[in-house]
Amino acid sequence: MYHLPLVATLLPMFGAFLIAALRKRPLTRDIVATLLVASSLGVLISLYPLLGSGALHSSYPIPTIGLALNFRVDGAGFVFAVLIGFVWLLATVFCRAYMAHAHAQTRFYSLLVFTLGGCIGVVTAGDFLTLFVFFELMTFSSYVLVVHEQDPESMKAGDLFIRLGVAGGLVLLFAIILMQYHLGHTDIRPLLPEIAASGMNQFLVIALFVIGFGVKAGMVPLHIWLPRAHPVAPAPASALLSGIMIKVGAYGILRVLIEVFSAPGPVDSGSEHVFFSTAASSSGYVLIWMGVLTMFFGAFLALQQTMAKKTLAYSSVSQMGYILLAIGSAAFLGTDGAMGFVGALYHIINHAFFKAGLFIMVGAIYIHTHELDIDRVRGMARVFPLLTVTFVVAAAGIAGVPGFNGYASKTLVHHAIEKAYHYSHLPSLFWAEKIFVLTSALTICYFIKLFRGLFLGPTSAAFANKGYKQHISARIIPVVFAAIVLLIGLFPQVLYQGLVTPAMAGFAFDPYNIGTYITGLEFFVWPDIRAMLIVFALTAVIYPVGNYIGLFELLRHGRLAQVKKVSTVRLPELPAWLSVEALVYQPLAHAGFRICTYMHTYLDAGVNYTLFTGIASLFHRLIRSVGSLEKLLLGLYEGGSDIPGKLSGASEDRSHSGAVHRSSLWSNRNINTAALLVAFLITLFLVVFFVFQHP
Amino acid sequence: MRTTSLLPVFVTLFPMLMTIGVAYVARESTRLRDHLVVLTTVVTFVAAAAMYPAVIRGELLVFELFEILPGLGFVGSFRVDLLSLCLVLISSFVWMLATIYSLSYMKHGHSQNRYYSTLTLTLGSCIGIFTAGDFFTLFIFFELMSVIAYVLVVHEETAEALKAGYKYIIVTIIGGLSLLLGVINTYEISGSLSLDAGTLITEPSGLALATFIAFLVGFGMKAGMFPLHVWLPDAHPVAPAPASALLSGIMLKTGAYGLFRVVFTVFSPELLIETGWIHIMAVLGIITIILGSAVALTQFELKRRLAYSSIGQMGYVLLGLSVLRETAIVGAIFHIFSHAFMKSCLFLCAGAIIHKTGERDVRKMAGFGTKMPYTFAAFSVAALAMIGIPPLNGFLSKWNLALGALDGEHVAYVGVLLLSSLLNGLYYLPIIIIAFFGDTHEMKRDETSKLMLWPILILAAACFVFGVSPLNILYQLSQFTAAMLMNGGL
Repeated sequence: MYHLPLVATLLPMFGAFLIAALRKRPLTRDIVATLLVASSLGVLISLYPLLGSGALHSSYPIPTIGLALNFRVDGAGFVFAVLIGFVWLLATVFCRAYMAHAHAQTRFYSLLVFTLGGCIGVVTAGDFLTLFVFFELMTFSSYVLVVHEQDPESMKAGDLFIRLGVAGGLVLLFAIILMQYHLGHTDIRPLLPEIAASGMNQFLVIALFVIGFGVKAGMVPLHIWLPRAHPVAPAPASALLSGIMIKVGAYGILRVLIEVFSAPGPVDSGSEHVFFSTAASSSGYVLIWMGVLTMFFGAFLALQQTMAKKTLAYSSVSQMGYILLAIGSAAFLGTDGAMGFVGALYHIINHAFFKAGLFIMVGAIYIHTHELDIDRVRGMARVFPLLTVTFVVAAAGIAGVPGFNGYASKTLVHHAIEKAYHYSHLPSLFWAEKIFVLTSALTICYFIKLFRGLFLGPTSAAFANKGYKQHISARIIPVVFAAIVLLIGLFPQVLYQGLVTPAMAGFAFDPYNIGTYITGLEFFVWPDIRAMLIVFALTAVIYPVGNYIGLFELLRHGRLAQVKKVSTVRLPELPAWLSVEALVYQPLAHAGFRICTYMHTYLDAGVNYTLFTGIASLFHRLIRSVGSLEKLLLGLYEGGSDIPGKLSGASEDRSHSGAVHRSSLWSNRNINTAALLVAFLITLFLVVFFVFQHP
Repeated sequence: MRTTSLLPVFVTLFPMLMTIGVAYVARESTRLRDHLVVLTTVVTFVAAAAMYPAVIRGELLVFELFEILPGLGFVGSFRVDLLSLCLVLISSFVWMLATIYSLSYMKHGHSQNRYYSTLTLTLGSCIGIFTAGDFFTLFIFFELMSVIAYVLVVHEETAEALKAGYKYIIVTIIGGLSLLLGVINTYEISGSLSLDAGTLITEPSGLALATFIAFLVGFGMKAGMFPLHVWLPDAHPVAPAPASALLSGIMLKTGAYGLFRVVFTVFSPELLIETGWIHIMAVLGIITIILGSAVALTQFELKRRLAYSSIGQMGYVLLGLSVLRETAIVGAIFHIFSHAFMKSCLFLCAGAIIHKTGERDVRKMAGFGTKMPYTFAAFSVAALAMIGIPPLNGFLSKWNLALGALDGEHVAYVGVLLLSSLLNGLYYLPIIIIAFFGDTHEMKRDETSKLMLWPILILAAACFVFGVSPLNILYQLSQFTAAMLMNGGL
């Protein structure tokens, strides 16, 4: 059992090379890829006994460099790892249908499997250094998945993805280096006593960690890469990027705020015992608001999209907001934050299923249409009746309809924000709760819009081909996802009691709080269902009104005017410059490059000019003046030694050219004089030298 | 423990003597010349490696050749301690690979006889800098190497090369004179030039400061330190690729080596911290890092971009040295190794690409990844190592430099290092991206010749092996060396 985390991580990584070697045999290659993912998942599942009972540590020291690869799997890590493996397996099977006619399939498969190793490595890592190693490997290998199509759009999206990925990784590295310096190790376990003793700047370290992981998690305003990169990737990759890889960022934030900055036992801080750092708690408050902003803007922007995958990508941003909010509330409440923790974890699981499922469903449509813009692809309900059903199920999951999986986790997240308000009585959190409700309504709105666009209406002639036969895995996988969404939704307690609450073991939550609020929690109770009904009522108001006044078409930039009749009351379209990218990132990038150019112009070329050219011309001038001095001296010698010659032919010499003049300068007699002078100077020098050398 | 050994003299003088052999044989047969050149570099590397067991045991290999000026105390002595061993090993190794690469690269070039004789002579003088036992011997070898390397810089004999070579030789002469001034001053103050004597200058004075600055100018010139870096981006790109690899990968390190000796032997870390003179180096190091990385971003000619990158990377070494904490010194020494592997690999790859396709503009390399997959795979590995992606070697040096900077309570230095890493990413990644993903057409595979490919692949593999890996003996060597330096001698 000791080596299992390492095996589960390295198996896909080395397996990727095996897949690359099988490029001549597509079928074998696909089967091997699926088997690799499945066996890695199997290895992870065999760690099940750990759940709730403690953690498995395994360490692989590298003596030559004094560092070690550490793995540590506890309940939370186990849940993440199994979730990753499971969704990955489904997506890999779906690849068989989606990638059948794509180019560079071997590259895609081998990097898909390699990325799995990176993801598992991150969630099973026992210290942040190990985590960082796998985190970077994941970033770079998933880049290849993002740019798979290699068209200009995906290359641009990929550039953004990799740049922000590298920048985020470096910020993370900064935090890890600070931690290593102050603590001497980077272990992922409750460290508050050590941290408090070391005098580390807690706010700085937390901020760096949250930014570093936040880039990956798609936290506003670091999210800009996400809505670009997720839609351009092939559907199985989008499903994994949105369903799994952004969760890795959330995982990191969760570990830092709720685990690392908590204490394994009571820490004496003044008079009372604390289990959580005050820095983590205040950061939790900030994170709640980051989450609220992320969920609201994500949902708002998702409403404006017409490309189905773009809607889903913005929806992922929005859903990450829910997760961040829950994590923030857990950190904010400290020992009483168990609700936030279970909410975050449960929503991570649910979001992985419905979002990966949705991406795969629209991917299945894409296989047929090669187009996903709801202005053009319409009426798919007639072509794909089965997909229509699964899509509705998954959308009901994300909308939080009771009986579908999103309901359970959204209820938990809602409880978390309510608890944060009740414990602190901060009026700001009251408003946060209201925005939460509004966002939930917007979520349903954009899914209605997407569903109407994609499935209803007249089928365009180009796509109405009834004879189209779907690949078997393109039919099964969406059904599997829908079934999971439905099963979790109908029996929320199974996962809740089976996986989510046991994962709390090892975290410093108050057992009394857990016993009162968490263990015996019922999902289908009237207040929670009522909260959902309020959301539906709100939706019933917002959607028709918004549709009428053009609330969902604020970013279309006139493209719609030809398609649809414009209503009389209409909101103005938002200008293109009103985005974080145009407001912050582009000017920043621009300024950065400007600075580089200035450095080139002034520091590099400038120094070159002054130091090399400038000094050279100075020397040139100096030599010229020395030269004229020499000429003067020679003229004096000439005057002194060649008086007869001067007397006889002075007038002729002056009138003749320089060459003649010079030849007369270097006549024998002059050289004699010069030699005498030089000999005299050397003697003088030697005498002076010896006199001073031996006093 | 001092052991008299012939090996330090042998590794230095053997390539120099073989130069005569190479030049003589070249008149008879080019095949024989090629074999002899490779043999020379291989024997040199083996001899350098043979010093490893003794030196790692803590022995000091010394050999006194003759007195250069009787009565004045200058002795043509050789001395190999851990720091010298580090540099001798890496130089002879990279030189060996670059020479093997040259066989194919220079095949149809002109003046090959001149090229190969110069190459071996430069090897000898370069190693001489590291094995020298006193500053006078060091100075002689330093000048010898600098002047002979001029022939390598101007090898192509184009107008551009001659111009860059002129700049190189002028700057080298200025640097050499400044170094001589430093040596003379040191002798004036302490009466000795030996590297054995421990700290030579112990008292702060105006003359001591002048000495420090003279050394800084002399060695910093070679190391590409701002503002003396101006020759580097001109000279490195115009040389033939294997020579560029050696100029950037190895010869820059002679400057860094000199600065190590200045900090630890001529002066002492305590004195430099007490007087604050080390801050001069730290500030120049920071400017060098930012400048090199920032300007590399604005360059689009592949070899020029690599040359600016070298400036930035040498800044890391200077910064690590100026922190004067053991971890930072480990980082600086290990970065000398890392950078030698990475940058030589990159320059050799650049040579292979230009040799095969004639393309120098990084924006026009679309699809070359499918054309030359192995070369570009190696290029990517070295470039990712440059950015500091684990588990490659660049990550380890950055990790140690950053921890060392924190040890010295310079949080801002960590920011500088990471900013530079980001810039590295911004100028290296587009090259890789455009080569592998820029063009969807499958190009016909047209890989470079085996003789050129193997050195490239070995260097790329070294980035892995000497990264986060259990085989990383060089990291241990760096640790021992740093401990030795911080404890003042053996």
